[in-house]
Amino acid sequence: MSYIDVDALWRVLVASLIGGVGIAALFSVGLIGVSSGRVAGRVAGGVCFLLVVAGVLLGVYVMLDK
Amino acid sequence: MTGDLILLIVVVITALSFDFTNGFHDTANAMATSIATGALKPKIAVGLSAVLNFVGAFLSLKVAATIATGIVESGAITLTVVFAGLVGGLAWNLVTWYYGIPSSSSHALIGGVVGATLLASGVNAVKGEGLVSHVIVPAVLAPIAAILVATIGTYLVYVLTRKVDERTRTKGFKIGQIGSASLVSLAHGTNDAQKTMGIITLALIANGTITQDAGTPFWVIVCSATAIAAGTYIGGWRVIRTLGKGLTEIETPQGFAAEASSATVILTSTHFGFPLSTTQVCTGSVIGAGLGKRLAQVRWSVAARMGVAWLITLPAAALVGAIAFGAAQLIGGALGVIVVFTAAVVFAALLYVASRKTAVHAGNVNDEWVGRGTPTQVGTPV
Repeated sequence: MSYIDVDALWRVLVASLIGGVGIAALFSVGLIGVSSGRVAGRVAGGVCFLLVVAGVLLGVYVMLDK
Repeated sequence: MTGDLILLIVVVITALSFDFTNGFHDTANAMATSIATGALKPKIAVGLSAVLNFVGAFLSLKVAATIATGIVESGAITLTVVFAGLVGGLAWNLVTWYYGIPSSSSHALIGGVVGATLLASGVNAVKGEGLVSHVIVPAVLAPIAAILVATIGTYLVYVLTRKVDERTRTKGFKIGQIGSASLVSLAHGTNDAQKTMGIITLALIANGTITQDAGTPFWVIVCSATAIAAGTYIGGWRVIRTLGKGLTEIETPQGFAAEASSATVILTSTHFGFPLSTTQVCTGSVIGAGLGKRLAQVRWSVAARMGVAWLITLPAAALVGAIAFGAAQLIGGALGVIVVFTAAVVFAALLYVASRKTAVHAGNVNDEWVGRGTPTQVGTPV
């Protein structure tokens, strides 16, 4: 028996980094967009927030699929 | 009433009690940062977390009637071993709550079962490799992974939003923090309430009340969801204070980055079958949120206190589990289990009374952190 499932560990680390850092960055860019005062900025910000919501829904899907 | 039925009833009550302590011990995981930054008022935060834990318990009903799978031989698991294991986990949950230390309820339960199994069936019934791969390795990796994600996330959040006006930034991250903390609460309900459901289902099968393939009765699901939600609503204020105020002073961008990190690490570990302790992940995320903000201070003495507690969780809970099993066996029958259960209730009551002397509550949970490492030293309100 292996003490560490290295394959699963790497997947968790990479997915966590992409997901966790990605959501934080997307949300921040969304805030930059909505505070820019320009229409294009607000649209881009809205898209970022939608992507964050999609990430949350993906999280709920993971819970349901468990 | 037969002895077996009495044993079953006591096991069910003990399992629900454990579920309750699991709830109030882990409220901090999701809500400590939201309370610390003022994104949510304390009572609103624990209320929201309680509702989401309740809902989460119903989200996935693939309940496994197992306990400490891969760590102890399944043949060694008797109702008395399960009971003693629960007592071990319960006792450790209560002691760590008293000292305001976030600690894994799952690891405490595993420790209790391992201790009871060692006494019941000997060393050969405990799988050393399983202990290392299921408990020790994840306990080391969970905070490291969370620290890494939260540190980078926090750094990015501050760098990217440095030119955003303060009002928009604070308001935006407050909303984001509530969302991400809610996701952590939901995930907690899904994961942790199911453990109790699994234990009670296992007890019902062992007693012959239901068959192996009958599935988890609906009343078990409702009771487990209610117990964890009630525990969450009570709010383990001591642990909330340590996690929200003790480790580092948290601002809303840090709180958001910490909760986003926690939610992502927990859910990816669930998805890829590498289960990590919610408590250890959330604690790591808060430390990472402190490290990711330049000049932010992490109180390493508080973190070290937690590290020591995590190191001794398994042996301490195992010791109590073994003592509980030994005492129940010594007295024998249903009476033995009742005596041990009564002793556990008295212990819990004494600890509760002691905690009232230095109470941490919704009114002082956010007061200035003073002293070396305990949440009961309360400074001036902030």
